Amino acid sequence: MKSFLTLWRREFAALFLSPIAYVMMMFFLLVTGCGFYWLVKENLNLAHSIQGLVVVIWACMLIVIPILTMRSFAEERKNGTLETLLTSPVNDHTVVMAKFTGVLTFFLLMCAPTALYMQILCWIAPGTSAMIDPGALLGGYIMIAWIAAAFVALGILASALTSNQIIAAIITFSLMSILFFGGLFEPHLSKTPLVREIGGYVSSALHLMEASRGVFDTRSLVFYLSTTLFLLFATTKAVSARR
Amino acid sequence: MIKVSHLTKQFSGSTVVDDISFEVERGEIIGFLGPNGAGKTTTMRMLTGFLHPTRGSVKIAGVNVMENPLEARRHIGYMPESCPLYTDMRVNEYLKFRGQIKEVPRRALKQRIRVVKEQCGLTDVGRRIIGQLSKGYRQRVGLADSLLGDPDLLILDEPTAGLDPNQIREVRELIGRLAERHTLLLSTHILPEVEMACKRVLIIDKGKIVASDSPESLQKRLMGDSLISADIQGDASIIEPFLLSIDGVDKVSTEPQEDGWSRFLIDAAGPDIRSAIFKCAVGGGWKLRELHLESRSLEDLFVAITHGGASAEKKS
Repeated sequence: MKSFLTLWRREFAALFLSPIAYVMMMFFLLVTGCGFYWLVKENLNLAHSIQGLVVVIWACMLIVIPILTMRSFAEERKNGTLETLLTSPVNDHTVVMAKFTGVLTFFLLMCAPTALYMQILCWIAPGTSAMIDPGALLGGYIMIAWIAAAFVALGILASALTSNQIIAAIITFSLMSILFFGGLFEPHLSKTPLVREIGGYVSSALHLMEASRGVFDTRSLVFYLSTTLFLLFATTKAVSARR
Repeated sequence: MIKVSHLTKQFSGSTVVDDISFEVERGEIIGFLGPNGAGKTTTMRMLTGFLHPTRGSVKIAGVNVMENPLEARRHIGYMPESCPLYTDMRVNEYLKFRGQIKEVPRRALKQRIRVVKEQCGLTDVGRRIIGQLSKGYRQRVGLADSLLGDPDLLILDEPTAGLDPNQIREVRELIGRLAERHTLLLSTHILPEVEMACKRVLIIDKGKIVASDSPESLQKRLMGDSLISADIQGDASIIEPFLLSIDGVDKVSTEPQEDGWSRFLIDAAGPDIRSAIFKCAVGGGWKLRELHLESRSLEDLFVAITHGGASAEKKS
Protein backbone atom coordinates (compact mmCIF):
# COMPACT_ATOMS: atom_id res chain seq x y z
CA MET A 1 0.00 0.00 0.00
CA LYS A 2 2.85 2.34 0.90
CA SER A 3 4.63 1.77 -2.39
CA PHE A 4 1.30 2.22 -4.21
CA LEU A 5 0.86 5.66 -2.65
CA THR A 6 4.46 6.60 -3.49
CA LEU A 7 4.03 5.50 -7.10
CA TRP A 8 0.62 7.16 -7.40
CA ARG A 9 2.05 10.44 -6.12
CA ARG A 10 4.89 10.20 -8.65
CA GLU A 11 2.47 9.47 -11.53
CA PHE A 12 0.17 12.31 -10.56
CA ALA A 13 3.01 14.79 -10.04
CA ALA A 14 4.72 13.72 -13.28
CA LEU A 15 1.70 14.94 -15.25
CA PHE A 16 2.20 18.43 -13.84
CA LEU A 17 5.89 18.34 -14.72
CA SER A 18 5.13 18.12 -18.44
CA PRO A 19 3.54 20.92 -20.47
CA ILE A 20 1.08 18.46 -22.06
CA ALA A 21 -1.03 18.39 -18.88
CA TYR A 22 -1.47 22.16 -18.86
CA VAL A 23 -2.25 22.27 -22.58
CA MET A 24 -4.80 19.49 -22.13
CA MET A 25 -6.40 21.27 -19.20
CA MET A 26 -6.69 24.48 -21.15
CA PHE A 27 -8.15 22.68 -24.16
CA PHE A 28 -10.62 20.82 -21.98
CA LEU A 29 -11.88 23.83 -20.04
CA LEU A 30 -12.08 25.96 -23.18
CA VAL A 31 -14.13 23.40 -25.08
CA THR A 32 -16.45 22.53 -22.19
CA GLY A 33 -16.80 26.21 -21.24
CA CYS A 34 -17.65 27.36 -24.76
CA GLY A 35 -19.84 24.31 -25.26
CA PHE A 36 -21.85 25.00 -22.16
CA TYR A 37 -22.21 28.69 -23.00
CA TRP A 38 -23.51 27.80 -26.43
CA LEU A 39 -25.85 25.12 -25.05
CA VAL A 40 -27.38 27.49 -22.50
CA LYS A 41 -27.68 30.29 -25.05
CA GLU A 42 -29.34 28.16 -27.70
CA ASN A 43 -31.44 25.87 -25.49
CA LEU A 44 -34.63 26.89 -23.74
CA ASN A 45 -34.54 23.80 -21.53
CA LEU A 46 -31.78 23.87 -18.90
CA ALA A 47 -32.01 20.10 -18.28
CA HIS A 48 -31.03 19.55 -21.91
CA SER A 49 -28.09 21.88 -21.46
CA ILE A 50 -26.83 19.86 -18.50
CA GLN A 51 -27.17 16.68 -20.55
CA GLY A 52 -25.34 18.49 -23.30
CA LEU A 53 -22.52 19.49 -20.92
CA VAL A 54 -21.79 15.92 -19.82
CA VAL A 55 -21.78 14.83 -23.45
CA VAL A 56 -19.28 17.59 -24.28
CA ILE A 57 -17.07 16.45 -21.40
CA TRP A 58 -17.33 12.89 -22.67
CA ALA A 59 -16.44 13.96 -26.21
CA CYS A 60 -13.34 15.73 -24.88
CA MET A 61 -12.23 12.42 -23.37
CA LEU A 62 -11.67 11.20 -26.90
CA ILE A 63 -8.71 13.57 -27.21
CA VAL A 64 -7.66 14.00 -23.59
CA ILE A 65 -7.47 10.39 -22.39
CA PRO A 66 -5.28 8.96 -25.18
CA ILE A 67 -2.84 11.83 -24.68
CA LEU A 68 -2.74 11.54 -20.89
CA THR A 69 -2.33 7.76 -20.89
CA MET A 70 0.03 7.31 -23.84
CA ARG A 71 3.13 8.16 -21.83
CA SER A 72 2.48 5.95 -18.80
CA PHE A 73 4.31 2.79 -19.85
CA ALA A 74 5.51 3.63 -23.37
CA GLU A 75 7.63 6.58 -22.26
CA GLU A 76 9.16 4.66 -19.37
CA ARG A 77 9.95 1.74 -21.62
CA LYS A 78 11.57 4.00 -24.19
CA ASN A 79 13.63 5.91 -21.60
CA GLY A 80 14.61 2.72 -19.82
CA THR A 81 13.19 3.89 -16.49
CA LEU A 82 10.79 0.94 -16.56
CA GLU A 83 13.81 -1.23 -15.88
CA THR A 84 14.70 0.62 -12.67
CA LEU A 85 11.03 0.65 -11.68
CA LEU A 86 10.37 -3.05 -12.29
CA THR A 87 13.57 -4.13 -10.54
CA SER A 88 12.51 -2.33 -7.36
CA PRO A 89 10.63 -4.33 -4.74
CA VAL A 90 7.17 -3.53 -6.15
CA ASN A 91 4.59 -5.82 -7.77
CA ASP A 92 3.59 -5.37 -11.39
CA HIS A 93 -0.05 -4.88 -10.40
CA THR A 94 0.91 -2.14 -7.92
CA VAL A 95 2.70 -0.30 -10.74
CA VAL A 96 -0.30 -0.71 -13.05
CA MET A 97 -2.79 0.42 -10.39
CA ALA A 98 -0.65 3.44 -9.50
CA LYS A 99 -0.40 4.53 -13.12
CA PHE A 100 -4.13 4.02 -13.63
CA THR A 101 -5.22 5.94 -10.55
CA GLY A 102 -2.65 8.66 -11.21
CA VAL A 103 -4.13 9.50 -14.62
CA LEU A 104 -7.73 8.98 -13.46
CA THR A 105 -7.28 11.35 -10.52
CA PHE A 106 -5.81 13.95 -12.84
CA PHE A 107 -8.71 13.61 -15.26
CA LEU A 108 -11.35 13.85 -12.54
CA LEU A 109 -9.60 16.86 -11.09
CA MET A 110 -9.66 18.40 -14.55
CA CYS A 111 -13.45 17.84 -14.69
CA ALA A 112 -14.02 19.43 -11.27
CA PRO A 113 -14.05 23.08 -12.46
CA THR A 114 -16.93 22.30 -14.85
CA ALA A 115 -19.14 21.85 -11.76
CA LEU A 116 -18.60 25.56 -11.16
CA TYR A 117 -20.37 26.37 -14.43
CA MET A 118 -23.73 25.79 -12.67
CA GLN A 119 -22.70 28.11 -9.85
CA ILE A 120 -21.73 30.79 -12.37
CA LEU A 121 -25.05 30.32 -14.16
CA CYS A 122 -27.01 30.69 -10.91
CA TRP A 123 -24.99 33.78 -10.09
CA ILE A 124 -25.73 35.39 -13.45
CA ALA A 125 -29.40 34.34 -13.59
CA PRO A 126 -30.64 33.75 -10.00
CA GLY A 127 -33.87 32.18 -11.19
CA THR A 128 -32.21 29.14 -12.74
CA SER A 129 -31.09 27.46 -9.50
CA ALA A 130 -34.58 26.06 -8.95
CA MET A 131 -34.48 24.47 -12.40
CA ILE A 132 -31.30 22.46 -11.76
CA ASP A 133 -31.88 18.89 -10.65
CA PRO A 134 -28.89 18.02 -8.42
CA GLY A 135 -29.60 14.28 -8.74
CA ALA A 136 -29.38 14.37 -12.52
CA LEU A 137 -26.23 16.49 -12.38
CA LEU A 138 -24.58 14.12 -9.90
CA GLY A 139 -25.68 11.12 -11.96
CA GLY A 140 -24.03 12.64 -15.02
CA TYR A 141 -20.74 13.21 -13.21
CA ILE A 142 -20.72 9.73 -11.64
CA MET A 143 -21.25 8.20 -15.07
CA ILE A 144 -18.40 10.33 -16.47
CA ALA A 145 -16.12 8.97 -13.72
CA TRP A 146 -17.07 5.37 -14.56
CA ILE A 147 -16.57 5.85 -18.28
CA ALA A 148 -13.29 7.67 -17.69
CA ALA A 149 -12.05 4.76 -15.53
CA ALA A 150 -12.69 2.26 -18.34
CA PHE A 151 -11.11 4.49 -20.99
CA VAL A 152 -8.06 5.30 -18.85
CA ALA A 153 -7.58 1.56 -18.26
CA LEU A 154 -7.79 1.06 -22.04
CA GLY A 155 -5.16 3.77 -22.60
CA ILE A 156 -2.83 2.27 -20.00
CA LEU A 157 -3.14 -1.15 -21.66
CA ALA A 158 -2.31 0.33 -25.07
CA SER A 159 0.69 2.08 -23.55
CA ALA A 160 1.91 -1.16 -21.98
CA LEU A 161 1.77 -2.92 -25.34
CA THR A 162 4.14 -0.60 -27.21
CA SER A 163 7.14 1.60 -26.56
CA ASN A 164 5.87 4.20 -29.01
CA GLN A 165 3.65 6.82 -27.41
CA ILE A 166 2.00 7.86 -30.68
CA ILE A 167 1.00 4.28 -31.46
CA ALA A 168 -0.39 3.90 -27.93
CA ALA A 169 -2.45 7.08 -28.36
CA ILE A 170 -3.76 5.98 -31.76
CA ILE A 171 -4.79 2.54 -30.45
CA THR A 172 -6.68 4.15 -27.55
CA PHE A 173 -8.23 6.78 -29.80
CA SER A 174 -9.38 4.16 -32.33
CA LEU A 175 -11.00 1.87 -29.78
CA MET A 176 -12.66 4.77 -28.01
CA SER A 177 -13.93 6.05 -31.35
CA ILE A 178 -15.61 2.73 -32.09
CA LEU A 179 -17.53 3.00 -28.82
CA PHE A 180 -18.15 6.69 -29.48
CA PHE A 181 -19.51 6.47 -32.99
CA GLY A 182 -20.93 2.97 -32.60
CA GLY A 183 -23.10 4.28 -29.82
CA LEU A 184 -23.89 7.60 -31.42
CA PHE A 185 -25.21 6.08 -34.63
CA GLU A 186 -26.71 3.07 -32.94
CA PRO A 187 -30.03 3.27 -34.86
CA HIS A 188 -28.15 3.25 -38.18
CA LEU A 189 -25.58 0.67 -37.11
CA SER A 190 -27.11 -2.42 -38.62
CA LYS A 191 -30.34 -4.01 -39.72
CA THR A 192 -29.67 -6.96 -37.41
CA PRO A 193 -31.40 -6.37 -34.05
CA LEU A 194 -28.60 -8.17 -32.13
CA VAL A 195 -25.91 -5.81 -33.42
CA ARG A 196 -28.08 -2.82 -32.59
CA GLU A 197 -28.70 -4.18 -29.14
CA ILE A 198 -24.98 -4.66 -28.51
CA GLY A 199 -24.32 -1.19 -29.94
CA GLY A 200 -26.85 0.26 -27.53
CA TYR A 201 -25.44 -1.70 -24.61
CA VAL A 202 -21.88 -0.45 -25.05
CA SER A 203 -22.84 3.07 -26.13
CA SER A 204 -21.38 5.47 -23.60
CA ALA A 205 -23.35 8.33 -25.20
CA LEU A 206 -26.63 6.64 -24.34
CA HIS A 207 -25.43 5.75 -20.83
CA LEU A 208 -24.53 9.37 -20.21
CA MET A 209 -27.82 10.71 -21.55
CA GLU A 210 -29.70 8.35 -19.25
CA ALA A 211 -27.59 9.10 -16.20
CA SER A 212 -27.74 12.86 -16.66
CA ARG A 213 -31.52 12.59 -16.93
CA GLY A 214 -31.48 11.11 -13.43
CA VAL A 215 -31.97 7.49 -14.48
CA PHE A 216 -29.76 5.16 -12.46
CA ASP A 217 -29.00 2.01 -14.45
CA THR A 218 -26.81 -0.60 -12.75
CA ARG A 219 -26.20 -2.44 -16.05
CA SER A 220 -23.96 0.29 -17.36
CA LEU A 221 -22.11 0.59 -14.03
CA VAL A 222 -21.43 -3.16 -14.07
CA PHE A 223 -20.31 -2.88 -17.69
CA TYR A 224 -17.75 -0.16 -16.96
CA LEU A 225 -16.55 -1.72 -13.72
CA SER A 226 -15.98 -5.13 -15.30
CA THR A 227 -14.35 -3.55 -18.37
CA THR A 228 -12.00 -1.53 -16.16
CA LEU A 229 -11.02 -4.53 -14.05
CA PHE A 230 -10.50 -6.71 -17.10
CA LEU A 231 -8.34 -4.10 -18.84
CA LEU A 232 -6.21 -3.57 -15.71
CA PHE A 233 -5.77 -7.31 -15.39
CA ALA A 234 -4.75 -7.48 -19.07
CA THR A 235 -2.28 -4.62 -18.52
CA THR A 236 -0.65 -6.44 -15.61
CA LYS A 237 -0.35 -9.54 -17.78
CA ALA A 238 1.06 -7.48 -20.65
CA VAL A 239 3.72 -5.98 -18.38
CA SER A 240 4.63 -9.41 -16.98
CA ALA A 241 4.65 -11.03 -20.41
CA ARG A 242 7.23 -8.56 -21.71
CA ARG A 243 9.66 -9.52 -19.00
CA MET B 1 25.36 -14.55 -2.84
CA ILE B 2 24.44 -15.34 -6.44
CA LYS B 3 23.73 -18.83 -7.65
CA VAL B 4 22.92 -19.18 -11.31
CA SER B 5 22.11 -22.60 -12.67
CA HIS B 6 21.48 -23.54 -16.30
CA LEU B 7 20.20 -20.08 -17.13
CA THR B 8 18.87 -19.77 -20.68
CA LYS B 9 17.07 -16.93 -22.41
CA GLN B 10 15.60 -17.11 -25.87
CA PHE B 11 14.10 -14.18 -27.75
CA SER B 12 11.81 -15.22 -30.60
CA GLY B 13 13.81 -18.35 -31.35
CA SER B 14 17.34 -17.00 -30.98
CA THR B 15 19.26 -18.01 -27.88
CA VAL B 16 20.87 -14.99 -26.25
CA VAL B 17 22.02 -16.67 -23.05
CA ASP B 18 22.78 -20.35 -23.41
CA ASP B 19 22.72 -22.60 -20.34
CA ILE B 20 25.12 -20.67 -18.12
CA SER B 21 25.87 -21.54 -14.51
CA PHE B 22 28.07 -19.72 -12.03
CA GLU B 23 28.26 -18.77 -8.38
CA VAL B 24 29.38 -15.62 -6.64
CA GLU B 25 30.38 -15.64 -2.98
CA ARG B 26 29.54 -12.86 -0.55
CA GLY B 27 32.09 -10.02 -0.73
CA GLU B 28 33.45 -10.96 -4.15
CA ILE B 29 34.02 -8.41 -6.88
CA ILE B 30 33.25 -9.89 -10.25
CA GLY B 31 34.03 -8.36 -13.60
CA PHE B 32 31.56 -9.44 -16.21
CA LEU B 33 33.14 -9.12 -19.64
CA GLY B 34 32.19 -9.90 -23.17
CA PRO B 35 31.85 -8.31 -26.59
CA ASN B 36 28.72 -6.34 -27.48
CA GLY B 37 25.74 -8.62 -27.90
CA ALA B 38 27.35 -11.46 -25.94
CA GLY B 39 24.47 -11.60 -23.45
CA LYS B 40 25.86 -9.58 -20.52
CA THR B 41 22.94 -7.20 -20.16
CA THR B 42 20.39 -9.99 -20.65
CA THR B 43 22.09 -12.03 -17.92
CA MET B 44 22.11 -9.05 -15.57
CA ARG B 45 18.47 -8.35 -16.31
CA MET B 46 17.62 -11.93 -15.42
CA LEU B 47 19.59 -11.68 -12.19
CA THR B 48 17.56 -8.63 -11.18
CA GLY B 49 14.28 -10.22 -12.23
CA PHE B 50 13.56 -7.66 -14.97
CA LEU B 51 13.56 -10.47 -17.52
CA HIS B 52 12.29 -13.96 -16.85
CA PRO B 53 14.58 -16.78 -17.96
CA THR B 54 13.35 -19.29 -20.53
CA ARG B 55 14.98 -22.02 -18.46
CA GLY B 56 17.13 -22.26 -15.36
CA SER B 57 17.09 -20.48 -12.05
CA VAL B 58 18.72 -17.58 -10.23
CA LYS B 59 19.09 -17.38 -6.48
CA ILE B 60 20.12 -14.16 -4.79
CA ALA B 61 21.13 -14.54 -1.14
CA GLY B 62 19.35 -17.88 -1.15
CA VAL B 63 16.09 -16.45 -2.53
CA ASN B 64 14.79 -17.66 -5.87
CA VAL B 65 14.26 -14.63 -8.11
CA MET B 66 11.32 -16.22 -9.95
CA GLU B 67 9.52 -17.61 -6.93
CA ASN B 68 9.98 -14.72 -4.55
CA PRO B 69 10.87 -11.72 -6.72
CA LEU B 70 10.20 -8.96 -4.20
CA GLU B 71 12.35 -10.51 -1.49
CA ALA B 72 15.18 -11.15 -3.98
CA ARG B 73 15.02 -7.56 -5.27
CA ARG B 74 15.40 -6.22 -1.73
CA HIS B 75 18.93 -7.63 -1.74
CA ILE B 76 19.90 -6.01 -5.04
CA GLY B 77 21.02 -2.53 -5.99
CA TYR B 78 20.91 -2.35 -9.76
CA MET B 79 22.12 0.29 -12.15
CA PRO B 80 21.01 -0.52 -15.70
CA GLU B 81 23.03 0.29 -18.78
CA SER B 82 22.93 3.99 -19.78
CA CYS B 83 21.56 4.80 -16.32
CA PRO B 84 17.91 5.71 -16.95
CA LEU B 85 16.49 8.35 -14.58
CA TYR B 86 13.40 10.53 -14.33
CA THR B 87 14.95 13.61 -15.86
CA ASP B 88 12.09 15.88 -14.82
CA MET B 89 12.76 15.38 -11.10
CA ARG B 90 15.26 17.04 -8.79
CA VAL B 91 18.05 14.87 -7.39
CA ASN B 92 16.67 15.01 -3.83
CA GLU B 93 13.13 14.31 -5.01
CA TYR B 94 14.28 11.37 -7.08
CA LEU B 95 16.32 9.82 -4.28
CA LYS B 96 13.43 10.28 -1.87
CA PHE B 97 11.04 8.62 -4.32
CA ARG B 98 13.41 5.72 -4.91
CA GLY B 99 14.07 5.34 -1.18
CA GLN B 100 10.36 5.09 -0.50
CA ILE B 101 9.92 2.50 -3.25
CA LYS B 102 12.82 0.53 -1.81
CA GLU B 103 11.13 0.52 1.58
CA VAL B 104 13.79 2.51 3.41
CA PRO B 105 12.09 3.29 6.76
CA ARG B 106 10.66 6.81 6.78
CA ARG B 107 12.75 7.91 9.76
CA ALA B 108 16.01 6.64 8.29
CA LEU B 109 15.36 7.94 4.78
CA LYS B 110 16.71 11.47 5.23
CA GLN B 111 19.89 10.21 6.80
CA ARG B 112 20.28 7.49 4.15
CA ILE B 113 19.88 10.00 1.32
CA ARG B 114 22.49 12.22 2.95
CA VAL B 115 24.92 9.30 3.24
CA VAL B 116 24.58 8.11 -0.37
CA LYS B 117 24.82 11.69 -1.62
CA GLU B 118 28.06 12.09 0.27
CA GLN B 119 29.35 8.74 -0.98
CA CYS B 120 28.62 9.66 -4.57
CA GLY B 121 29.64 13.33 -4.39
CA LEU B 122 26.15 14.69 -4.95
CA THR B 123 25.88 16.95 -1.92
CA ASP B 124 26.05 20.16 -3.96
CA VAL B 125 23.55 19.19 -6.65
CA GLY B 126 20.64 17.97 -4.50
CA ARG B 127 18.33 20.73 -5.73
CA ARG B 128 19.31 20.49 -9.40
CA ILE B 129 16.95 18.99 -11.98
CA ILE B 130 18.40 15.66 -13.17
CA GLY B 131 17.86 16.52 -16.84
CA GLN B 132 20.21 19.49 -16.47
CA LEU B 133 23.06 17.48 -14.96
CA SER B 134 26.11 16.28 -16.91
CA LYS B 135 26.37 12.61 -17.79
CA GLY B 136 28.91 12.01 -15.05
CA TYR B 137 26.61 13.42 -12.42
CA ARG B 138 23.65 11.43 -13.75
CA GLN B 139 25.77 8.30 -13.48
CA ARG B 140 26.42 9.22 -9.86
CA VAL B 141 22.70 9.70 -9.24
CA GLY B 142 22.13 6.20 -10.67
CA LEU B 143 24.81 4.81 -8.39
CA ALA B 144 23.36 6.66 -5.40
CA ASP B 145 19.97 5.17 -6.25
CA SER B 146 21.39 1.64 -6.37
CA LEU B 147 22.97 2.19 -2.94
CA LEU B 148 19.86 3.61 -1.26
CA GLY B 149 18.49 0.35 0.08
CA ASP B 150 21.96 -0.60 1.42
CA PRO B 151 21.85 -3.79 -0.68
CA ASP B 152 24.09 -6.81 -0.19
CA LEU B 153 24.63 -7.10 -3.90
CA LEU B 154 25.36 -4.34 -6.39
CA ILE B 155 24.84 -5.06 -10.07
CA LEU B 156 26.24 -2.33 -12.29
CA ASP B 157 25.83 -2.56 -16.04
CA GLU B 158 28.58 -0.54 -17.70
CA PRO B 159 28.80 2.15 -15.04
CA THR B 160 31.50 4.08 -16.89
CA ALA B 161 30.08 3.95 -20.43
CA GLY B 162 30.09 7.30 -22.18
CA LEU B 163 32.07 9.17 -19.53
CA ASP B 164 35.20 11.24 -20.10
CA PRO B 165 38.53 10.00 -18.63
CA ASN B 166 38.23 12.18 -15.50
CA GLN B 167 34.71 11.00 -14.83
CA ILE B 168 35.75 7.39 -15.44
CA ARG B 169 38.47 7.81 -12.84
CA GLU B 170 36.00 9.30 -10.35
CA VAL B 171 33.43 6.56 -10.88
CA ARG B 172 36.16 3.92 -10.69
CA GLU B 173 37.38 5.29 -7.37
CA LEU B 174 33.82 5.33 -6.11
CA ILE B 175 33.32 1.71 -7.16
CA GLY B 176 36.58 0.83 -5.45
CA ARG B 177 35.22 2.28 -2.21
CA LEU B 178 31.90 0.46 -2.62
CA ALA B 179 33.66 -2.84 -3.13
CA GLU B 180 34.73 -2.78 0.50
CA ARG B 181 31.17 -3.18 1.73
CA HIS B 182 29.17 -4.88 -1.03
CA THR B 183 29.30 -7.88 -3.29
CA LEU B 184 29.77 -6.41 -6.73
CA LEU B 185 28.97 -7.63 -10.20
CA LEU B 186 30.24 -5.19 -12.76
CA SER B 187 30.02 -5.29 -16.52
CA THR B 188 32.33 -3.05 -18.46
CA HIS B 189 34.37 -2.55 -21.60
CA ILE B 190 37.15 -0.75 -19.78
CA LEU B 191 39.45 -3.64 -19.07
CA PRO B 192 42.07 -1.92 -16.91
CA GLU B 193 39.18 -1.15 -14.59
CA VAL B 194 38.47 -4.84 -14.17
CA GLU B 195 42.16 -5.65 -13.82
CA MET B 196 42.44 -3.13 -11.01
CA ALA B 197 39.28 -3.83 -9.08
CA CYS B 198 38.04 -7.34 -9.75
CA LYS B 199 39.12 -10.48 -8.00
CA ARG B 200 37.43 -12.67 -10.56
CA VAL B 201 36.44 -12.31 -14.19
CA LEU B 202 33.57 -13.93 -16.02
CA ILE B 203 33.93 -13.74 -19.77
CA ILE B 204 30.79 -14.39 -21.76
CA ASP B 205 30.70 -14.85 -25.51
CA LYS B 206 27.72 -15.76 -27.68
CA GLY B 207 25.63 -16.48 -24.61
CA LYS B 208 28.08 -18.90 -23.04
CA ILE B 209 30.60 -18.43 -20.26
CA VAL B 210 33.99 -19.00 -21.83
CA ALA B 211 36.20 -18.18 -18.86
CA SER B 212 35.80 -17.72 -15.12
CA ASP B 213 38.87 -17.15 -12.98
CA SER B 214 41.04 -14.46 -11.44
CA PRO B 215 42.68 -12.21 -14.05
CA GLU B 216 46.16 -13.50 -13.08
CA SER B 217 45.43 -17.20 -13.30
CA LEU B 218 43.50 -16.67 -16.50
CA GLN B 219 46.58 -15.04 -17.90
CA LYS B 220 48.71 -17.96 -16.82
CA ARG B 221 46.29 -20.56 -18.08
CA LEU B 222 45.47 -19.06 -21.42
CA MET B 223 48.72 -17.27 -22.16
CA GLY B 224 51.23 -20.01 -21.44
CA ASP B 225 53.45 -18.53 -24.13
CA SER B 226 55.31 -15.31 -23.53
CA LEU B 227 55.93 -12.21 -25.60
CA ILE B 228 59.46 -10.80 -25.55
CA SER B 229 60.50 -7.48 -26.96
CA ALA B 230 64.14 -6.98 -28.05
CA ASP B 231 65.80 -3.87 -29.54
CA ILE B 232 68.68 -4.96 -31.79
CA GLN B 233 70.81 -2.88 -34.14
CA GLY B 234 71.40 -4.42 -37.57
CA ASP B 235 69.66 -5.61 -40.71
CA ALA B 236 66.28 -6.95 -39.61
CA SER B 237 65.97 -9.36 -42.53
CA ILE B 238 69.24 -11.04 -41.49
CA ILE B 239 68.51 -11.08 -37.76
CA GLU B 240 64.97 -12.47 -38.03
CA PRO B 241 65.87 -15.99 -39.28
CA PHE B 242 68.44 -16.30 -36.45
CA LEU B 243 65.80 -15.41 -33.88
CA LEU B 244 63.33 -17.86 -35.43
CA SER B 245 65.91 -20.63 -35.15
CA ILE B 246 65.97 -20.29 -31.33
CA ASP B 247 64.24 -23.22 -29.61
CA GLY B 248 60.65 -22.43 -28.65
CA VAL B 249 60.15 -19.33 -30.82
CA ASP B 250 56.88 -19.42 -32.75
CA LYS B 251 56.73 -16.05 -34.39
CA VAL B 252 58.84 -12.95 -34.81
CA SER B 253 57.57 -9.58 -35.95
CA THR B 254 59.71 -6.52 -36.62
CA GLU B 255 59.05 -2.85 -35.94
CA PRO B 256 61.81 -0.63 -37.39
CA GLN B 257 62.76 2.24 -35.06
CA GLU B 258 63.64 5.71 -36.33
CA ASP B 259 67.27 5.59 -35.15
CA GLY B 260 68.29 2.54 -37.20
CA TRP B 261 67.47 0.03 -34.49
CA SER B 262 64.78 -2.62 -34.90
CA ARG B 263 62.34 -3.84 -32.32
CA PHE B 264 61.61 -7.55 -32.54
CA LEU B 265 58.50 -8.92 -30.89
CA ILE B 266 59.09 -12.59 -30.24
CA ASP B 267 56.27 -14.99 -29.43
CA ALA B 268 57.63 -17.98 -27.59
CA ALA B 269 56.17 -21.02 -25.92
CA GLY B 270 57.61 -22.63 -22.85
CA PRO B 271 60.42 -21.38 -20.59
CA ASP B 272 61.99 -17.94 -20.55
CA ILE B 273 64.24 -17.63 -23.63
CA ARG B 274 65.67 -14.18 -22.95
CA SER B 275 69.17 -15.58 -22.33
CA ALA B 276 69.01 -17.46 -25.61
CA ILE B 277 68.13 -14.24 -27.43
CA PHE B 278 71.05 -12.49 -25.75
CA LYS B 279 73.41 -15.28 -26.82
CA CYS B 280 72.06 -15.08 -30.37
CA ALA B 281 72.76 -11.32 -30.49
CA VAL B 282 76.26 -11.73 -29.12
CA GLY B 283 76.92 -14.61 -31.54
CA GLY B 284 75.89 -12.49 -34.50
CA GLY B 285 77.84 -9.49 -33.30
CA TRP B 286 74.74 -7.27 -33.10
CA LYS B 287 74.20 -4.62 -30.47
CA LEU B 288 71.35 -5.24 -28.03
CA ARG B 289 69.99 -2.34 -25.98
CA GLU B 290 66.74 -3.63 -24.56
CA LEU B 291 65.31 -7.03 -23.76
CA HIS B 292 62.19 -7.57 -21.73
CA LEU B 293 59.20 -9.80 -21.17
CA GLU B 294 55.98 -8.02 -22.12
CA SER B 295 53.22 -8.57 -19.60
CA ARG B 296 49.98 -9.68 -21.19
CA SER B 297 47.06 -7.45 -20.36
CA LEU B 298 43.51 -8.52 -19.79
CA GLU B 299 42.80 -6.89 -23.12
CA ASP B 300 45.01 -9.43 -24.93
CA LEU B 301 43.29 -12.13 -22.97
CA PHE B 302 39.86 -10.83 -23.86
CA VAL B 303 40.74 -10.63 -27.55
CA ALA B 304 42.33 -14.09 -27.45
CA ILE B 305 39.28 -15.69 -25.84
CA THR B 306 36.50 -13.97 -27.72
CA HIS B 307 38.23 -13.62 -31.10
CA GLY B 308 39.82 -17.02 -30.86
CA GLY B 309 36.35 -18.44 -30.48
CA ALA B 310 35.13 -16.54 -33.51
CA SER B 311 37.96 -17.65 -35.75
CA ALA B 312 37.72 -21.23 -34.54
CA GLU B 313 34.05 -21.21 -35.40
CA LYS B 314 34.72 -19.79 -38.87
CA LYS B 315 37.28 -22.50 -39.52
CA SER B 316 34.86 -25.25 -38.51
